[in-house]
Amino acid sequence: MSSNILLYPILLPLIAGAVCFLLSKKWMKEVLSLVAMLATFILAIFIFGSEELIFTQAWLPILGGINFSLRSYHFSSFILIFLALFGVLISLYSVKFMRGKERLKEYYAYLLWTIAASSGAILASNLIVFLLFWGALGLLLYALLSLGSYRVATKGLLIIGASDFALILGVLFLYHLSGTLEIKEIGSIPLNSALSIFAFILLATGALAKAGAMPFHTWIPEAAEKAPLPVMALLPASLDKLLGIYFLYRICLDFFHLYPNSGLSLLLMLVGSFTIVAMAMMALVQNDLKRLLSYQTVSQVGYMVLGIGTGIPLAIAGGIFHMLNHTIYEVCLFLGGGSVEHRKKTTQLNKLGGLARMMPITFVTFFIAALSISGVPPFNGFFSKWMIYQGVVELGRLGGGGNFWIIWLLAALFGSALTLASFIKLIHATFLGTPSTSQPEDMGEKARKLGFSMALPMIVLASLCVVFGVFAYRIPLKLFILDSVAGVPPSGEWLGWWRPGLTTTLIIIGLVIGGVIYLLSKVKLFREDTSYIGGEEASPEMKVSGVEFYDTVRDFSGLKGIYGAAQKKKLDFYNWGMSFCQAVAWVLRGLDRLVNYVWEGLASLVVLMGRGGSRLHNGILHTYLAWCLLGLMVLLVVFLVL
Amino acid sequence: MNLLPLFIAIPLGTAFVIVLLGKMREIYSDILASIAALILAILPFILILSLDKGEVLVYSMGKWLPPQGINLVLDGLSRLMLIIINVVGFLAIVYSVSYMKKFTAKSKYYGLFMLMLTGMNGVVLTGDFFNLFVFAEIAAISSYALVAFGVEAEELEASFKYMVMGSIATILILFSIGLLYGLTGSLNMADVGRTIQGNGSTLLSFSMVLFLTGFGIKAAMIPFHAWLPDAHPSAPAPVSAMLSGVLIKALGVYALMRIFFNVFGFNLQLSWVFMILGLLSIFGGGLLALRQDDLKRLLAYSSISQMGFIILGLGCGNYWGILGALFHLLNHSSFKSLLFLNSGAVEYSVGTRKLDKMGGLSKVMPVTGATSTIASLSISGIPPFNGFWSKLFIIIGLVQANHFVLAVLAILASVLTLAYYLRMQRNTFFGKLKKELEKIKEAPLSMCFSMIVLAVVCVGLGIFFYPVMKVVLEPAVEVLQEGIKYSSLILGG
Repeated sequence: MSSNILLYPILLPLIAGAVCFLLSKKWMKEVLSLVAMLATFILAIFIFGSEELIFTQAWLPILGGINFSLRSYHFSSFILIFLALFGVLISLYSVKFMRGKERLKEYYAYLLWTIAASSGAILASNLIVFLLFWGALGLLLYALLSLGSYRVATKGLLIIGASDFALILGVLFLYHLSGTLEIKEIGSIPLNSALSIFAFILLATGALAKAGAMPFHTWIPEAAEKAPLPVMALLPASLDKLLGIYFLYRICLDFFHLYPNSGLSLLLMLVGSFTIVAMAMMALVQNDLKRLLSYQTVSQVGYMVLGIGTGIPLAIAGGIFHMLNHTIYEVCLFLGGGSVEHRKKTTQLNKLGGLARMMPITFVTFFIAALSISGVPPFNGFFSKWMIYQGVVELGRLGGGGNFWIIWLLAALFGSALTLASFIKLIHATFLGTPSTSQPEDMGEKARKLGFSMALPMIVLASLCVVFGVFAYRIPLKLFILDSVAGVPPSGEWLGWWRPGLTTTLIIIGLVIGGVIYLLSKVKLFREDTSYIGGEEASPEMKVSGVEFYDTVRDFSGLKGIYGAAQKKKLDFYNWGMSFCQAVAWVLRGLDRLVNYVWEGLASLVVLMGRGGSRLHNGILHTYLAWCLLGLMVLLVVFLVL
Repeated sequence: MNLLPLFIAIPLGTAFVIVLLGKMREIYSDILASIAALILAILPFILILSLDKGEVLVYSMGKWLPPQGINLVLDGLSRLMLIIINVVGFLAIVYSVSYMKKFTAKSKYYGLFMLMLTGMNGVVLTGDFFNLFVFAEIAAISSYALVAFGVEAEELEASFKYMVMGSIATILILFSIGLLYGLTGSLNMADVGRTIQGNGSTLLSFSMVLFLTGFGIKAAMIPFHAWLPDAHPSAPAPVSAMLSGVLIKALGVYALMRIFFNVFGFNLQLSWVFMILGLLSIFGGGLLALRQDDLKRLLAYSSISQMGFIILGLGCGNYWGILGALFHLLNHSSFKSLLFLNSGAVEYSVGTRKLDKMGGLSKVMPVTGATSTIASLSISGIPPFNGFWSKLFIIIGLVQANHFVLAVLAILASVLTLAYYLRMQRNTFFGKLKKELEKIKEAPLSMCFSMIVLAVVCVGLGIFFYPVMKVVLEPAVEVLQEGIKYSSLILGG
């Protein structure tokens, strides 16, 4: 297969996006976007099916021959497939969801360009080309977020832009260290000099900020409230994770070699563990569906960073697998949340409730995805977390890092429990219980229906959650993951051997037996009644919405201060930066005023002198002649006396 | 063939013929004046092409050799001045074709104008003190008449003041020439220069003081400037353009340069006197310009200020200072003439020169507005226009001569220039158009032609400053830097 095929996943969405601006009819844009995404998806499958491809074109000869080079190999092409898949699903979902919204033309164009730039960043085989596409993604993020709110878009752009700057600096150091810009030729630079460690940290900053790990996450919850939901599903939930974690992997294992329990490895694991726990804690107390989901997506990044940070092949593979699983269930969750928003026009948890009966498809898919993210077997989230746990334990067996591994393991386990807790709250408040009295009116029958275009993406993703969990060895690991990460031991030699197929069978058998017992024994013995509340009539105000489930957590000593500070955005690095900028601006303004006073004084002096000069010009010839005479005298003195 | 006498013969002859044409239709005088001016404007360029760089052409009248005979000398400096005088003169004549329609006796006007050209060409070409005096008088007296051409009370008063002060200047100059003649027995500048070499005396210093004062009045340097703010605004616009753009340079600055650099020889004392006079003029003119509410008076004060820059640059005495001064002289003749022509167009169309009665004129007078903006930016020293380069060179010259304080002051003065030109532009061409001005029409074609040509010159000199510097300015700088070698160049040996 010709290597030119690598250009198409970039060019196709790029051109389609430009064409979007020219099309006048709404349906034409929707169809164009969908067709372009599908074509990209098919191209990605072709690229995945072929051997390693390299495309090189001489470019920018003035700058000493930087090549426009692209490369696809197993890892990058599997990421490309999922990029395109999410493109297709979100495009499809948007058809109904985005209809009637403003600036639709821009929305589809930016969507397509985002896919183009992501493909470019994944395929790029030259650091400059990579930076080009990576930078374009930052701008597109601004463009997409601006559809919701310019303030949040600015915040996102500043955070991503600052980290991109770190990345560029890192790339410069990397070039200095390796002497080449071709990514393929950079190999395992030893992490033993200050420069290489600094370069590593700078590059990792770029990757972590893109993936949205702490402390670069603060724009995500704000964007979740303001930006259009498919944008959230596309960027922070899926593409950003794919790109950020992919690049983090390249940094840790291709550019440099990260050894287990080295200082940087500990740093990454610390960031990962802290992200997991802190963000899951934050998610626990959110009262808005989209905000809660966005904190969860940040929390899950922690697992991936932790996995890669261990430096143990099994955990790395787990991290990559978790990245893949995360994108699947998180997009599913966001789309489910979108369906709720579409129907109820709100995502405030206290205004929702009892939606399970009204929206069965959304409920089931959401439920599956929620179990996956909480790491409940046999779904995919469990499996990848399981791999990470094993990796951490193996790290402990390896020794050398003290007993820190226990902390990482506990953080991961505890985070998983917190996630489950937060989803219990979420699902209860949204789908179970009784409908809230303050719930907005349902819309008309026609608008109420989810329709094929919104239901299909959720169903596809939920099925993937199940399939990737139950047939983990046979499908995702075999196809995508194991060939991407070198050195993963064959599945039989894993520390904790887990057979998802068997387990699933057992779970199903258990459920069936339970169901049979239930049907046989108690089926006729129950009655349905309203809740009994001490003989009182159950009024709607007594409904348990689930919003307050974990409010006690806020009052724990120690946590109270942290939550309060987080609420006031005191822990947001962005705000710190902004305050710093304001202080600098204040000082500069003071200086500016000072200089201004000096100049204004000068200006008044000039005016004053002008006034004096005018008074001297009285129009009388004698005066003027007197001046001449005076001048003559002075000159005489100068030339004859001095 | 020697072309030098033509610079004097053509305008002088035209002046007499054109007055005779006065009884006939106006168009004949227009055509004759324009053709004569066009020929005069082309001649200096022919000279540039036909002569080598730095070559000195000497023409002896009636084959009587100097020092006894009268001679015309063309060196780099005179060549630069000839270009300025005749090109601006031609454009002013073309402009006058339309502008002077509202005055009667157009042929007399052309006659006086041609006499003024004769005088100025004579001043820059002559190699002899007495002829310098005679030609300066021809130019000055015709300019007194031209200032009074409108014969309203204001113009007559201005002309009277101008004449009185001009006459005093002439007397001082004549007295000084007499002194020199008494001391050396010669009137030829080269000869005088050779004779007084090395013999300093009180009388010689006295003659220097008299020259400085006399030509200082002609060049309108503060404190000898007081006639200018009255005289220049009162004259018809093309004459104002000639007076401010050319006359004060030919009669004042050129004569100062020639006498003090080439005859007396430049020294430290003169350098300081020049620089102090220059600074006084820069700031005095600039501060007063800021306060004017009459468009042409503002321009007149600005002329004083810009002449100060030229004198300041000359005072440096080094290559960059002199180059900057001469370049500024060339530039000033282009943009200041242009600004006066603009003011004439405004007066022609709007009927007033008061700044507060105008505003937004760019909308109805696009050519005038655009050219005036270009001229204002040029004179304020905004890159890439020509004024930027000349001021830059002057500042470089000051820095090289270690006059850092003066350099900073020159920069501040440049800001001052920008301030009053912005004020002028804002009040006339920018801003909101007043209701009663909406019916105003753009100036006629011949006026627009002259303004556009000058604007193109401003931009062209700015962009192509390097070739201009090499071809026109450097020979002139050389003449001044060689100083008293002038004598031996002219007289041989």
